[in-house]
Amino acid sequence: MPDGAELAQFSGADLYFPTGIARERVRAELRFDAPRAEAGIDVPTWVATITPRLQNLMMLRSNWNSYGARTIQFSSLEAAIELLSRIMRPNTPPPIIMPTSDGSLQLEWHEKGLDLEVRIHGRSRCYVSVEDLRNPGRDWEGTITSNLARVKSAINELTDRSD
Amino acid sequence: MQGGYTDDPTIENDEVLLRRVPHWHFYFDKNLGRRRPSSAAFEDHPNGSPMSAHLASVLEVKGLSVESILAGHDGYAVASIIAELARANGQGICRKPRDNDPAHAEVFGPKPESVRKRFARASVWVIAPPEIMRS
Repeated sequence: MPDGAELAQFSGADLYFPTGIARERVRAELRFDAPRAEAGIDVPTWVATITPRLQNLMMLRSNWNSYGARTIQFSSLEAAIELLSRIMRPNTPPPIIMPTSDGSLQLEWHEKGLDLEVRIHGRSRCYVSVEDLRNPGRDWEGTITSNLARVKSAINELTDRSD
Repeated sequence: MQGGYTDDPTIENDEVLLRRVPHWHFYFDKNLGRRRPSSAAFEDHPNGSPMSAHLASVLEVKGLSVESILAGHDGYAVASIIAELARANGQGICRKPRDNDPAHAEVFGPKPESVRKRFARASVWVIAPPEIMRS
């Protein structure tokens, strides 16, 4: 789980889950405390941007792609949020969040000359693909587990790079 | 390649393979400057069966429109790749006609992220997504 500071950053997310069931599941599964935004803690823009999308994805029924896709597992949502809490900066562009047919989630960024895709395979494993259209020699892809240094580096590059 | 499947040589390399894409799977790629499907739209079935597709040539021979594969699937778009691209990326293609779905086919073979990304980027909209994006 994220540490206290990271949880504080995310605690605003549950404010954006308007339905009781979704909100309670988020609180229960992610162990969010009482809304901290009420205490004046700022919520990054990207959190507000992705939260409605996440909520909608959690509502998908099986076969949502017409090709037999599974419902999105709550553990995938939990893993995605935990990962984001560890790699994102407040001004990082929000990811495009894709559901996958096996019930997982894929995070994507395609801007500023960077193509970054992160396929969540659980709470401690994901597959990352980075393509730098401005510096093709720096492309890489592979499975990462606990060491997020390379992903953080790519996110930092994305955050700092101008259009 | 997935076991038990054989690439069908009667499916020409210029065959157009059609794939339904739900609105969840397309977005505006700022790098490319256009909307395109996500690589997540080109996956095998979660039960291990190969990725489904429709053969455009069979639709034509049967007098069916591309729109016919969207029956009952409001809000979907249809993306296409050509068979040559699939084969160049380690895939085989076989006909799997179904009742009332004579153009159904399967694209079999390993689809790591790199392959799915190539499909997504090379795909061409046959029926473009609705203009309004949903969250």
